[in-house]
Amino acid sequence: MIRFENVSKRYKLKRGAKTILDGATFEIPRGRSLGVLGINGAGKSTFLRMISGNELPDSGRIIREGVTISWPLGFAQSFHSSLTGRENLRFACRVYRKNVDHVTRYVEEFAELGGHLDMPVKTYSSGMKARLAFGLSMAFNFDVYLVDEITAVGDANFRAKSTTAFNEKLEKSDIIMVSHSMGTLTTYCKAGCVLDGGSIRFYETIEEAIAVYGEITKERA
Amino acid sequence: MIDFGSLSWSDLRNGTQLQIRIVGALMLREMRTRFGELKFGYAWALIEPMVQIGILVFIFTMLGRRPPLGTSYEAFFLNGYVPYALYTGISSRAALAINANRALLTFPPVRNMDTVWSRILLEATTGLISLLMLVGIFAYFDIPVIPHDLVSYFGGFASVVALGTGMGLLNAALEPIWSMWMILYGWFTRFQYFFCGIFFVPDMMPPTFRYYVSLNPLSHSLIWIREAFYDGYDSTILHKSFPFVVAVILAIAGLAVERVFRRRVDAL
Repeated sequence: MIRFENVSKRYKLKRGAKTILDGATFEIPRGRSLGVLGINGAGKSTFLRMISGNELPDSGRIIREGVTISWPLGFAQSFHSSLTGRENLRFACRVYRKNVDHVTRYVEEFAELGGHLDMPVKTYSSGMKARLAFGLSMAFNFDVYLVDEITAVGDANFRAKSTTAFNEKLEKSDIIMVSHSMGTLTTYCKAGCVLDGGSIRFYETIEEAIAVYGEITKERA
Repeated sequence: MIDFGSLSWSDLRNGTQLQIRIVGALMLREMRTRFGELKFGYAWALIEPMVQIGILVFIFTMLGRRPPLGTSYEAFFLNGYVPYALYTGISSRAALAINANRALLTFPPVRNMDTVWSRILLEATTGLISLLMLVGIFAYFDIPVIPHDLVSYFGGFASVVALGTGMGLLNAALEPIWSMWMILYGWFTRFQYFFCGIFFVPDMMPPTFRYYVSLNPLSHSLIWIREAFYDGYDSTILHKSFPFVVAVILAIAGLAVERVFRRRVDAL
């Protein structure tokens, strides 16, 4: 269960403030994947970071019970640049209490980093970092995966492998996904929600959510 | 008001177990980069104080002075510089813990204060082990470095660790929200180098100077350590509880500031 109780979250800007949620109470539906929509600055990434626990709400509380939740996969760099890829994996395994050997073997094969795995992460290209991060998140079995604007990395072969791994996950896990690409959202998500002006509304189908989001963008234009 | 809601003992126990595991993982990760890319790695924890003490011994011997206590300048500075470095090491490295581990905070179980505690624990452990090894090395070269009252000696070092921890928590809380703070702390640390008592014994100083030194909690720790080290040195100004009281006040202030500004720092 992931439940928001009376949650408010605001962002201070240079001038004024932006309200992301204003006393919102809701439970995130489980058992189907959820696409998160909202115009730029509506707080989609912050919403994911609140679900994962990276950020606290200003008031209210977020209850996570009986679910394991990933960190938000995406832009954020989750590796220490002075440590090698292998050392970073070891750290993540200690944090999540996973078997280091299993995870390392899986990621070694999955991310195709070869000898680079024993080089400091700061020597990696952005593609290599993304592959390492994606491999690591696939090695852990979370109940809920949070995906923030993940972009395809690597060659066609790696992309195919990623898609397969991801689809396998979808059979057992839910994903909550932020993306600007409606195509990506319809591919991966069944349900949808729209963040707008401090409130959040849930829709049974992603198509419905996309339609509502379309209305909002039209109004703003 | 903080709403504890349905927080139970088992939540508290699970939370504590989680934090211990995370801090442990962070300590292992910090050890890896503590001395950066330097060759010899941890040997620097010994080389650095030995060079410092060597320089001080050289200067003061050249000046033709005799140590104010005991017969050995090596021992005198060992018991002055090492506690100073321990305090500075803990408090200054704790200050930058959050920034240095920013990327690892992407993992939600890893929270800001875990990085701070891991650095405090690692610095304290490193400092105390290097102290023991320095004592061993000096003793091997027949320098009289075995304390007169061993228990009290470690009590003195415990007060140094407490002060470093208190200051470190305050630094870690203020560094992300007030950039001026670390500049002020830098000045304060340099001031400490000259005035905490590495080079002198406060009891032998003029009354006014002695009074000002007695306001500095770190000076009390140094006096405590030397009083425990030298047989027959009894300070008239030492209050053993003073550094601990200041440490607790600093720690509470640091933790309170961290809690109040946590949302802002998380969003950085």
